[in-house]
Amino acid sequence: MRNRREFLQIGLASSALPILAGERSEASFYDSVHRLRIREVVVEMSSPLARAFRAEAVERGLDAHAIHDDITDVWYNVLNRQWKSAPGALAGITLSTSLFCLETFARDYGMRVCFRALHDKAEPGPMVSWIIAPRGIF
Amino acid sequence: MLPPGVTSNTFADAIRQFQGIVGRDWVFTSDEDVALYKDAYSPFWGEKDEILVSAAVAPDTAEEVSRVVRVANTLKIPIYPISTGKNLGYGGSAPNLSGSVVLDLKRMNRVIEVDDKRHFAIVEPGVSYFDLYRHIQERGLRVQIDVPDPGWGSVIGNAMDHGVGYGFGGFRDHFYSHCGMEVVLPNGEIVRTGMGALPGAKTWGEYHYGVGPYVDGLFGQSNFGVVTKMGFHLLPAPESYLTGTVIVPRRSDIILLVEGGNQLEHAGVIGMPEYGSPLGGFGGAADPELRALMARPGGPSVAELEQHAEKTNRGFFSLNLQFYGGQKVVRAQWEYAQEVFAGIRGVKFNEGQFIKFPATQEQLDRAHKVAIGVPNMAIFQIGARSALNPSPTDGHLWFSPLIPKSGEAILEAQDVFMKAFRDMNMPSLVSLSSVPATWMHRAFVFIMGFPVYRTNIEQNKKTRELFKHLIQVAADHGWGEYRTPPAFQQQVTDTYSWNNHALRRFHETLKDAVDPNGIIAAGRYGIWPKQMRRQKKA
Repeated sequence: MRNRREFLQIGLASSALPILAGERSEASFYDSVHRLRIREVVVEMSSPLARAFRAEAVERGLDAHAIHDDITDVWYNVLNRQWKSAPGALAGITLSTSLFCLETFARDYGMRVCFRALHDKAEPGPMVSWIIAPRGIF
Repeated sequence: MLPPGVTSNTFADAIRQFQGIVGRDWVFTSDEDVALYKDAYSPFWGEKDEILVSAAVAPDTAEEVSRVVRVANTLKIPIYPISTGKNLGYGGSAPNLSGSVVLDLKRMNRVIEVDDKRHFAIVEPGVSYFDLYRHIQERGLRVQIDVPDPGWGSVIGNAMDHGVGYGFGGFRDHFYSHCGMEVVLPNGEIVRTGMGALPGAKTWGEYHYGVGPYVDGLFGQSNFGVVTKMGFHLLPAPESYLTGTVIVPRRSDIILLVEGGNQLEHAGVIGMPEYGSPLGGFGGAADPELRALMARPGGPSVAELEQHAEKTNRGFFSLNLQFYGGQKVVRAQWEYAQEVFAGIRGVKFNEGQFIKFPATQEQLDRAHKVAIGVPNMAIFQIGARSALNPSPTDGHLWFSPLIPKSGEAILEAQDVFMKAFRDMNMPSLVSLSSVPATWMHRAFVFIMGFPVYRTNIEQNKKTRELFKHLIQVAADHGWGEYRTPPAFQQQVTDTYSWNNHALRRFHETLKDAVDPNGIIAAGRYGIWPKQMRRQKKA
């Protein structure tokens, strides 16, 4: 942790702030991903919605990290290393529990959830689309 | 929000002095920032009794901690130290006393030393299990850490809360396996315990006691100081790992199953014994017949369950054994273990996973990772919405009573807690096939997780009432909690009442001597400062 912005409320698991909760459109999510020039996404592979997002991300040359419920591997092998040197924006469509873990980790590196939308009717169950970004971006 | 009994001028003075010590960037006072220190799983979410904090201070060194504590002591500012604040289910980062200033130690995240020849580590409070694991892996050190689930918490914080893991023997009792501390006392003085009290000591991470009274235990689950460094004994990296499962057909077989498990574990033959039931806990997972049986009003009888177990060739209880060591050794241990259980009529054995380290990715994917010291976050999958969990909760509270390490105690606990749920007219979390957790080396934890919601105050109230009832029921049977969320710490410590609360009174005597202004973690595990004692106990 190099500065206050990176520290913020470091890793507090409180997830206490209902940041931008609520339904948002798929279009605004895709728009935000492009507008913020996000280079990396995380997708829950059990979800057709997330897989579609992954396909588009790959087509656009983004790094897409596939997960099956558990964020451990992408956290430990990719994000933890990257964020230690340069915290960067990240988008995803995952289970809410996966977002809870990533959101909590992200605070260690001065980042917050700046977009969150629930897809309650997604198959095989509800998914969340989200963007995590350094505080200065939003 | 101000700390109780502190004027706005005094508080402003404290904040200025804290900023002078740690820098303005590391003192947090905005509503947005301090809100993050709330307990994510608070059973009082959105109610007037929810615990809030007034500010947070994040020092970088033990010396800064000392200076912050001196200011707090002078100005009588209540402070609440946390390591990484991820103690979910037991309070998270929230204090017991609303208005406390959180002393956030996450910046102190240095791995001081790991020795893979003498098998110990010394770390600071901000070091997580992931951090320590990475430190060891990147250097190819031949030690295995013992990790809890999930692995994002602090090594020191978990130990200080008497947290536990999944590995071999006493290593999984994280306070038991610690060795040596550095502590900032309430007056700001820094002390080192054990061999650390000897200037230039060469054995701080190896020998617990030093000479004279052993005081380390005073700093766990308490409020006598702020731990800023701590040593831990580590397991030498095993050459291999093998699992095997023992399955018995009848409910009463749990008695012999536990006797055998104890014999093997206490002799150091196996790691953590994992008891289970092929019948599952409640729904019986995907088996519709069993699910219907379990859901029937009044529940199934033992005979019906045993018949179902026999018909489906499942068995009633199981015990998963874990062996660590040389390849020849673990094979011989598994063979010996089967001899130990051979006398149980109808017993079956299934050999499980074998790993010769280093594990392949495929082996890791199949393994219960925490059992081989690999921190992970997979446990959060349990809380995700799924066909079996259509209404996920917003968190949970752990009810964690210790029961004797015997099959008889398991059967008694099942009966007692099933009745307790019936008496409260609440759906039972316990069934005739429930088993305890086995994290402790020498006792069982009959743990239950109760849901909490951010949008259902009425349900949270019912849960709190049920939780309180269970604490009392447990105490009436000689079972005490080993750890509990702040909302229940007073009641739980009240149950440890032998000889007119002699232990509590001793703790209070110590508190008054060591921390006369009561600045550190007021109320933690029922120890209140003298000036608040009468009011808070009322």
